[in-house]
Amino acid sequence: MSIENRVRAATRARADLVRDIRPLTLPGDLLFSDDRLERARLRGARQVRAWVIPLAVAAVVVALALTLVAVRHAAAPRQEPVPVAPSAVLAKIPQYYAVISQDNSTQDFTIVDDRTGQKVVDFAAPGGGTLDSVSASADDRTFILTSSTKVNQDTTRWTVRKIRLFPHPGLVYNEAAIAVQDTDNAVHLNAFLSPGGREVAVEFDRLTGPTTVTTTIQIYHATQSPSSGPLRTWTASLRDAGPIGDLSWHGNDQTLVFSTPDAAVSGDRPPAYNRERALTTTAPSGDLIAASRVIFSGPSSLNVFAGPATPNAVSCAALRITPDGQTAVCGTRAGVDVPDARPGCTAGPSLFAYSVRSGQRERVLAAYPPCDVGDAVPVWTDATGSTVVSEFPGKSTRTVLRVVSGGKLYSLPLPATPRDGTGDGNGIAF
Amino acid sequence: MKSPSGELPALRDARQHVSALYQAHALGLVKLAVLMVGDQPTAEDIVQDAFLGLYRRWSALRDADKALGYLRSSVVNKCRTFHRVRFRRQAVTLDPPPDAASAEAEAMLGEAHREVLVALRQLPPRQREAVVLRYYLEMTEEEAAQAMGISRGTVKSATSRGLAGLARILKEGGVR
Repeated sequence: MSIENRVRAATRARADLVRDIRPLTLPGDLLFSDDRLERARLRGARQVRAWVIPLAVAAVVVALALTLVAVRHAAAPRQEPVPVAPSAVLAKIPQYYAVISQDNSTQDFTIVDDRTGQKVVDFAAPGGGTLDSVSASADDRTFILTSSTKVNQDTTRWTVRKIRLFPHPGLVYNEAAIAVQDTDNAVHLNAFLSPGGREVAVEFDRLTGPTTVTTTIQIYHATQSPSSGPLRTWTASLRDAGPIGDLSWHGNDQTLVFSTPDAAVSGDRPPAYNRERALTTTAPSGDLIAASRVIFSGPSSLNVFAGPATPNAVSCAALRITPDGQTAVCGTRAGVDVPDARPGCTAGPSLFAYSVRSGQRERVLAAYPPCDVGDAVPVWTDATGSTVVSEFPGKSTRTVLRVVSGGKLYSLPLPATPRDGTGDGNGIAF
Repeated sequence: MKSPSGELPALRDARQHVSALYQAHALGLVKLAVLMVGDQPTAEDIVQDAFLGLYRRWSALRDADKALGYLRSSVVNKCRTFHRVRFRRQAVTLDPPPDAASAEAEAMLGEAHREVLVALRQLPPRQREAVVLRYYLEMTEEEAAQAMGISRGTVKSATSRGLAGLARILKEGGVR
């Protein structure tokens, strides 16, 4: 039986066990009480409203003023605000970043200047489609945007655009489509421009069975003619697993690194580990797993949703290998992975640095004080991992951007509401 | 203008409509909430709360035909809030054991069904919502997106990841 049908059968069987529920109880039992009680309540409410509301407003104003005074004079505020990144820190990170923002049902692609906090490019999803992922090249000017459109009930069509800012003055941009092939009906598709801007890696998944995902990576010329196809293609049928993730370019545009749940490849029992695999992009097309090799075994990503976690255990919701290949930056999930760091705070999401060579944790890059539930997702690192930009959960599920440098945490401007997606880090690119 | 019984027309209208909606849809919504939160008393509280909210806002509801959609979204949101609050308060566990009555009820299910339900509760809330709306209520991606208040693409992504996660948990015996 397919997993979908197992879900159908189990949920319906459970739901069928619910047969009796208690009657609706409205305030003051309005639904079932005598109407006179309700009329009296409304009449009384009107009379009271005439003087209670002004009195309540006055009380609120006084209380607010007293609270502000108390907060202002508090000796030690419980949680210090994160300072804005100074120019010396901003100089260490790319000036422009791209973000897919979402406000209710409206999506926008936005490029932000993090020095000024201003949007320099902002446009809506073309043709009523859905914006899916962004990536950036090392030149701080070029971005890749993927989007999808439902052609009919059975067919989803994917589009990959290269968006380039022209240098000053004007910061106008142009865009060009990269004609991807054989991607219809992929359940998701991400594209990554190599740092040198020469090639684009396109990664997508298809559900090929109830417990099987087929992952494909294609390499295209970044400046191709419309008739060009992929230069090389690798595929892997990953049983019982979600898609591969955290894909990034390394090694002078010739190596792709991506993470795969170990169980997807080996069928291991838990605990399964994140395996970071490296693929040489000049290798011949073929099997993705055979063509790639494991370079790092990191903490499991499974615990992030299979909780409760082992006490003090760390599970990486997201991993990013630094460009020098020596360090794996692990982003954890609040409330699951990190033991209490301060009284009254269950745990904030954190960034840890692991040695790729030894697999051991080397240092804590950042322990984010707020206890908002969500993932720390590193979206950019410098060559050695000493400066890292990461998504963190903010209040009311809003994502915030932080830069970690010299062991300190700074805030970055984010003048848009990032897509409330799966925390895969593909909605923001530096 | 008052009715012959002396009741305010707007109040009577709200009572009648909300009462009728409760009669028609409350059981189905409780079933949906049970799948999201795991136990019936909590599910009933959530559904009661949703109807109470509808009752209070009835006069502001422009299209009475959309009341069911409002209720469904409200239940989904309240289930999510319930998980978030519980998650914050109990950092070590995503889902506390179900209440005795719910545990007894689930014991009546076959082992295969029970495993799927427990695995379903191990998914992140958004993935669980997407899977339940798509495969229990058989909603389209568009309908699920409306109920969850997110984009269709996110529903698609959450559903595929939820199914893959379920398969992985079931395969690995990660059901607790």
